[in-house]
Amino acid sequence: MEIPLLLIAAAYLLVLIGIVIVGSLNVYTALKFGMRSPATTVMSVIFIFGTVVMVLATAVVVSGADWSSSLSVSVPDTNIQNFQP
Amino acid sequence: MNLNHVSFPGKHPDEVVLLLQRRHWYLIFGRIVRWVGLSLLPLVVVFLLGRLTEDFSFDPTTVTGAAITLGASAYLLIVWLLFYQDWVDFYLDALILTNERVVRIEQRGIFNRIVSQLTLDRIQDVTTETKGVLPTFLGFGTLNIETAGEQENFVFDNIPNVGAVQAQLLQYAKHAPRMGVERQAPDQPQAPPTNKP
Repeated sequence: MEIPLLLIAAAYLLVLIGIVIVGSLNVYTALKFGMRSPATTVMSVIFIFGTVVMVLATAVVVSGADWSSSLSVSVPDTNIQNFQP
Repeated sequence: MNLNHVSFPGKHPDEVVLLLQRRHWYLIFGRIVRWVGLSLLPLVVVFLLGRLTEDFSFDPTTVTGAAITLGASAYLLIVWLLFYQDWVDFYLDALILTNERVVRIEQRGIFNRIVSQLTLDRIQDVTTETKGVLPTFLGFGTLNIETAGEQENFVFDNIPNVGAVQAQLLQYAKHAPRMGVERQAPDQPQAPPTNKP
């Protein structure tokens, strides 16, 4: 089975969008109910900074890849017609 | 500890926060260890692939390398988010003692928050339980505030210095106004003056 690298990148982007949405809600909760503690602000900044750094690092690492290529995955034959005891 | 800056939803303008207690640091330490361990998993997988497969070499410019990098990055982002969520869950749980009441806040998720309160005059008894080796050595335990009437008991677990918290709670409960008789603890901080007409 051939999986285009662009499809894997699209799946990664979907995960990233989910992380951004849920992460933003967590940051909002932390800041709203954080009882005005500086720790909530510091931790939220660390979380946002860490996320940005991780995404940028990933983009830099995979930037040299050939995006028109596909990943070959060998899938076992599950056709019952080909079953050999 | 200066608690003047502490604000919580529903705080009265002339209410004074006397104690703010979060759960013991041991709890978040255990979670940090777990998430750090899980974040090392992609490295272990790449290492094992290198050892078990002879023709495997990690190169991010190849299609396999790029796919592994994207997968590992997505995994690490999820672990990072779950760690932050755990921290928020830990940090927003609090037991607050004011000059009027005891407030227990429990954050159980982004949209799941329980805030319960108990006026000081309804405190009947405060018991503590320290169970296990680590709680005994690190000095944390469960605080159980028994209430008057049919209201449910207040239970807050994994509180550090649970004995001191118990003593402080009992001290303020003892001097709380009961049955319409106004009494005040001798060392109870006064509420800041308000500019109400």
